[in-house]
Amino acid sequence: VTTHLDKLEPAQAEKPLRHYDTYGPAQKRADKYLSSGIILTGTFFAGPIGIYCLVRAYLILRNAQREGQRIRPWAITIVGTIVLIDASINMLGWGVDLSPIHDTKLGLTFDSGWGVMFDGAYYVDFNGHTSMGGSSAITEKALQLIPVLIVMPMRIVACIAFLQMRKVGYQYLIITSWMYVAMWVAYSASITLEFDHRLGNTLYGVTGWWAYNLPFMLLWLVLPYLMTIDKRQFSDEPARSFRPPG
Amino acid sequence: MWEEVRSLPVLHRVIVRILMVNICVATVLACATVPYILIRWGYGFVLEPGGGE
Repeated sequence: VTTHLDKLEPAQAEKPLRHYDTYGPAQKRADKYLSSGIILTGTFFAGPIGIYCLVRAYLILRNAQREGQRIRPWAITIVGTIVLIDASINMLGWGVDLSPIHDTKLGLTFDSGWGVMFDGAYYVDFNGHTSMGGSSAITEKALQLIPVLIVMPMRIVACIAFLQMRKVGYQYLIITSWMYVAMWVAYSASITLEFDHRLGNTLYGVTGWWAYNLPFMLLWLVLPYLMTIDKRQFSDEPARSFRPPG
Repeated sequence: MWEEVRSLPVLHRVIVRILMVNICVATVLACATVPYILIRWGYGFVLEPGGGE
């Protein structure tokens, strides 16, 4: 083994062997646009620029594939993209209400507008009921701590690693997907239990709430996908070549 | 992309197609929400604390 290692060039011996590193240069270029697009879309406010970046990433990957370059499987890119978009949107949306940003004029406009359409607690008695301000639903304030401080940051990190085809990303995406399912059950129960105050005070009612939230709720579908794909395509950082001391 | 998705097993094909639709819907919702609020109710729209009940 030692003789074999000595024959290797130092750079070659240290070279990572992850799947992601075997993809063509277009993959990394497309991923820059993909990340920017996802972050911008997730801000709500710069969405149109985000869409441009996402379309650009798609075109780069499509052209690279036509040129015969090796790229990441499309299914992995699609799953990673929607999970990251959702995590960014949820983190920002709930983060605005959890933090003092809800006192800014932009925050007030956003929260009140959202509230009048889909959740009365963001509109009726806004900033006037809980000690933290923002939404007047106490259960909502408690629930906000979980996604903003734990689930969504974990999900964003997991998803970035997942898109880099790292095993840790795959494993943590499964963990956070279960957390996500639990969070949605708690959130749906919370909004239903306070029906009169929350859904009853909205412009679009129950139907509007489901129509708006269904695309995000359907992300539980990521779980059966992750459970049944070939796990061998995900690998951790390769171990450094072993060299005996001396 | 389409050929690759078509070649997936049935379960994966269905899930990936639903998620593709979700990407489109989520990006449109993310882009349209703030402009819709601004156009319909205007900047600075808020109900005063304690109001409405």
